[in-house]
Amino acid sequence: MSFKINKLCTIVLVISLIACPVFAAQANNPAPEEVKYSPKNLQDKDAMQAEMDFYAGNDHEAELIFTGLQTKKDHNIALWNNQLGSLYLTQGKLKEAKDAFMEAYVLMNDITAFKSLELRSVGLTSSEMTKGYKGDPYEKVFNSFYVGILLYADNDLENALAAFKNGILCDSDVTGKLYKSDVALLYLMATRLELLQKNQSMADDLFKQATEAYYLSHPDNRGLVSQKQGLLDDLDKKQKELLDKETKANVKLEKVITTLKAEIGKLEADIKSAGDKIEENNRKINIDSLKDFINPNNNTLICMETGRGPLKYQTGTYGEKAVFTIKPHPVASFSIIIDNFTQIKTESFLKNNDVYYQASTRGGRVMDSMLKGKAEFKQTTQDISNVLSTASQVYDPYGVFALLSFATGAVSNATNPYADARHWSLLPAELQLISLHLAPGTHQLQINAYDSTGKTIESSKISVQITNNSNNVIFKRFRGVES
Amino acid sequence: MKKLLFVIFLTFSLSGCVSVNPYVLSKGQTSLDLTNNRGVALFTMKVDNSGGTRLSLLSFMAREVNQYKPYNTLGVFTLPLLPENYSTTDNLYFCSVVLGSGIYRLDAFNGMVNLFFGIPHSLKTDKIFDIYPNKINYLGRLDFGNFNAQLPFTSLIKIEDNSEQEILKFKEIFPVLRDKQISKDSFY
Repeated sequence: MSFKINKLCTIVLVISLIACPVFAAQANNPAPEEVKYSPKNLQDKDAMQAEMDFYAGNDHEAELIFTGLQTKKDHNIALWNNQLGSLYLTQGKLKEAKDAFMEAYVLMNDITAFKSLELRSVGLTSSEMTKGYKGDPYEKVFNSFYVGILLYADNDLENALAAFKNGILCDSDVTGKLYKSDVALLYLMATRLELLQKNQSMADDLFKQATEAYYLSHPDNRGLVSQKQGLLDDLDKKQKELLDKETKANVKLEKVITTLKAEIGKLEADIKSAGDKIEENNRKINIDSLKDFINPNNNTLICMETGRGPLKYQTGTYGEKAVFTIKPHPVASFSIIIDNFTQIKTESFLKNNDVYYQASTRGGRVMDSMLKGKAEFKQTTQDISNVLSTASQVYDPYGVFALLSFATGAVSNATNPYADARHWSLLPAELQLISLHLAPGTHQLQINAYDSTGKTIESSKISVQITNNSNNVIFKRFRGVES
Repeated sequence: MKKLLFVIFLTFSLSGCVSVNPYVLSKGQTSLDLTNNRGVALFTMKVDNSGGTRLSLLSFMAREVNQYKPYNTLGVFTLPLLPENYSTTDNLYFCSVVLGSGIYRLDAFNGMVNLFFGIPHSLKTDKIFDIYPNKINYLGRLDFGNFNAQLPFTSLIKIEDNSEQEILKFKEIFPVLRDKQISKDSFY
């Protein structure tokens, strides 16, 4: 017996002697993938590869890059967390998504975060990109939405409600009055939570605001809302001009004042007419999907994320303007078949949660005029440098013009008017949601995606586990990469 | 000395003729390297050039769009339009872009209205497109309508999807694409 044990020990010893160096070598030489995507070797520009990998369906590679960048904990950490959050949602990793969104949420809503970087970025030679990323109002809105809905899934209703209300507040940080607080989804989620907590009066109030927001951002009203906003801006300008003229009132200005008053009267009539048309449209818009959505008896929320979010890029002579565009995505509507039996039709879904509309109606920023000023300065100094250079070639015995030309040229080159185009690019283009009542247990869902003509373009089956006690939330992303 | 100068002149001239631009596909190309996250975008362009003044298109310009890079470091690519890019039978330019995966802006097609006097003319496009790693995508047909030499530039009218016929034609023009899978994507 003891001989057998000795033999066994010897074999184990021999094997371990052979195997140890192999494992040790592996430990010392990590996989090339780990080296490539280690935070030390990753640069911000590598995030573009991750973005393209995500939209090409290579989630693993995208995750490695964004995780590596997030580990660096630099001024873009909120951006990396938002991108990672969207990636995790697509993969169905709700806990990881919540952690990533929460980390971004804290920074995006902290006024004091990266304050020193913000002050530095205003300088003539500093780039706006050096600021800490905190996102545009629409990005804050959707970050708050995701944090809220994931907390709701965790049954943390109070914090979820706080997140939705924060989103509503962020949505008020836009220039145009009519575009303020028009994300119906946030009001509807807040209504749902108030109903679950038996706060009927609060719920009624929030639902009223949700309906108003839904009407304002409805595609049928967008043109009219834009027209009305333009008229309101003109009216504001004219009223200020009138007030200014009236304070300096004299005989010469009387004619100008009369003209201004007539123009204001016409603008007010046009605003009323646009308002009436909006009211007329509102009467035709069906809000049944809103009522179904807030029904507290429905224990399951299904959130469809379609397409690719808005793309922000620089234009202008010096890239001083940042503009948005959107990639067309084929998915227009959905239907769901539950357990091969019950079919939920497309009209039941809560639609028009359009991310591009929210991004493109934010209005101007204070920083935009600073960048415009920087671009003008860059252009002027360049022009002066060119004139001095030409003059130096005609007559410049002491080289003064040449020196001045060089100096102004250097100032022009050092001026940095480039707009900051950082944005949460893994956001979807649109969200379509539905609330359902499903019996506890496992269910098979077949989700069909249709294009605008009603043709099925994608169909996928998922298995979901519905629990009785919690608020079930299911995410499904259709990235819209055609093939 | 004269002979040496002549040889240098000849070398420079001929090197221009045979040079291969790595950012576009060419007729004689036998292999397509899509390693290092490179990808291909294919699209066609139509401009009705049947009027009195002829427009000779020479190149098109693509700019890199990358939110993570400073604006002044973004790549700008001037891509040549080779004789094989123009198909007389279809009156179409068959264009290709071979670049690293990322987002690009197709700025404009540049050419001359009168080759002798060299009057420049641009067909403004300003459309964004994607290049996916190791993928070949067809993006559509850019239609500029009628060419008007009186205007400083011509604007894009519409983008159409003619993938069925045009993918086949691309494979015919660029033999390197023959055994490759070409997917569909779109400009934005």
